[in-house]
Amino acid sequence: MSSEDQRLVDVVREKIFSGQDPTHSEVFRASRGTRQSTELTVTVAGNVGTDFLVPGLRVGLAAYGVDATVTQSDYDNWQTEALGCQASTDWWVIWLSSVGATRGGIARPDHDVVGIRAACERLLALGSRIILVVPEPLQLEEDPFSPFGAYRRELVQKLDRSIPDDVIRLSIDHLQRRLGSQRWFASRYWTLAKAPCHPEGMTLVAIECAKTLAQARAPRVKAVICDLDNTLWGGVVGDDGPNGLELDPFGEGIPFLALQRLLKDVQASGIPLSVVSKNERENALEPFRTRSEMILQLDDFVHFDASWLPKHIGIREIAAKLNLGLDSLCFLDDSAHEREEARSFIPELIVPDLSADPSLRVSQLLHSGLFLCPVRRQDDVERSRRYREDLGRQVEMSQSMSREEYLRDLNMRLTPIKIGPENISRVEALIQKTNQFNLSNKRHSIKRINSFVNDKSCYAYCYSLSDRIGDSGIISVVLASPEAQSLVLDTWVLSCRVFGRQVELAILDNLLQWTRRSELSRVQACWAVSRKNAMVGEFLKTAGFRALEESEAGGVFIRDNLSAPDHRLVIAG
Amino acid sequence: MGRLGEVARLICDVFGDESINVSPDLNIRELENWDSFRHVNLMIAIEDAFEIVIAPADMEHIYSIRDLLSVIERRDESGG
Repeated sequence: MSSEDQRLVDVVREKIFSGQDPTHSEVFRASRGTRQSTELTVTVAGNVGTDFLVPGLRVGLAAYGVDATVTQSDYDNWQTEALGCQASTDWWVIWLSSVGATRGGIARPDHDVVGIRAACERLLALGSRIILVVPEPLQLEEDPFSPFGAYRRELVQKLDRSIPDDVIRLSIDHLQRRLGSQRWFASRYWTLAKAPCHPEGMTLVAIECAKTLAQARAPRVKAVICDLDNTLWGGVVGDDGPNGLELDPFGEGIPFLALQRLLKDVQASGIPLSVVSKNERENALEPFRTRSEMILQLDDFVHFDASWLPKHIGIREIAAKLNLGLDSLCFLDDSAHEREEARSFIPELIVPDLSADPSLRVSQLLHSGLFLCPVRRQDDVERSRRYREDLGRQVEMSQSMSREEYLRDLNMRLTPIKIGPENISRVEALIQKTNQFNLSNKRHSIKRINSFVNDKSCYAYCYSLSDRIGDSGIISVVLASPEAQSLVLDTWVLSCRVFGRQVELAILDNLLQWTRRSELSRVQACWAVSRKNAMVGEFLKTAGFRALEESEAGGVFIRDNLSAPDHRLVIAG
Repeated sequence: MGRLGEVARLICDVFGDESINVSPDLNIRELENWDSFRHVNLMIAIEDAFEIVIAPADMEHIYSIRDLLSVIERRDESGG
């Protein structure tokens, strides 16, 4: 990608993350420079012409750091294609537009909802994930009693009842409102290109689909760090005192309380919150104790940093504490100066340009898609609880016990579990999301994972970890196959939450036992270097592997010593 | 930059080809990578650049650069 092309994509990304809308022309120009890789394959389809969706999808996904190859299914032929194909792309984005469904607003035909379900089921069976854009309001619905409106709404309900649960339903009514119906409805584009709305609207839809897809794969933001003064409340607590702050829910406090409510929901969806504020600690804490209007409470935060140091220092500490990459942190601060400083010290930090008008901020953040949660997993909801437990462990460890004693005292228990339907979703999520302890960086689909599971000679296990403090759930996956005398590791991912506790040694121990029982004589690991997985190379070298070949791109490592490494975990089963 | 120059810039941009010789007689639909998608993108780029709205009937009947320039002139005169 040329630097001009990269700049165009960056401009679009900044607009998206600040809750603004890039124009169709900007997106069209920027899309020409996007790389297409097989990292992610997407088919776009529907009862509409899809040309105008392709640039927005490409650029939207590029803004989220995903290089995708986007192909188009023929106009209105996707069902036939889906039912007939033998292999499918990773994702399908399908728009069942009400304009297509009513033949431009002139007919109310019967719809083959059963056929649509069958096509979706076939795609899901082939291992694809699906986003279905459901029929949007028609221009005719400017008459609120329009029978076409009733027909359309009924079609949406019928679809919702019939299509499989795993299909992500995306409603775009809010985008119509955003653009305004004067601008949205433009029948000349239906005639020219089977586009159900003005291309500006198509671009909004495409970007929304990109946000939904990206967030469904792996949430962009894994932790939020926010300021206090003029961000969570109006005013400066050091000057105005806790009683002088704007927190009145019937008055000036509304915009700030609205942001607190948004962050409370974000936290409940599994994203930990922290505070970095330039204040005396006591001043910063007091409003939480004395102002009953506060929606966020102190125990909603996993870290509370009030000092006079430059904020980027506190931000880095939080990243280290939570074992997260700096590029997955979102920093919210009303001060343009603080935002600039944070960006210049940590360029990869996500820093939305919050509006100077506090009442616009929640809408900005909602529209940025940074907190979009298309699929709520039970796992995510429990993550907040787990972060607090993890921090409990860290605090304990820092108290004066030797590391050895601490590890023994934790009573950690690792349970290897054969991968199967009840855990495949968590397994796939780990493979898609893990960046640091990731041996090969292969982002397998469920279908590919199952090919290991169904082959009796292969090793396909995930691992669950629990200890005295709590249960961390499934935290690692290994996929391996025997080749000649070696067990060759295809995939090994380990959640960063459990680093530093010898878990990887216990997993290696279990792998070596399996290797011995299968009468193989060694374990082979191919490490593919990425920007983030240097720790894997270090681990292999200290865990008894020797390099057969090594280069800048990684290496092939062998362990022919099958005796167990030393660790403090109990392996169940 | 005159109107023709601005239009030339937009065409080269939308069609991704700096070498197109944009003269008033050039038939847009005969350009190598013309398709209806690019045609519409060109219309949108023109609308944005000249702050006009091109009527649907006009859009379909624009073939040459001369056609395009006269649509722009007409819209400009009537105040967009």
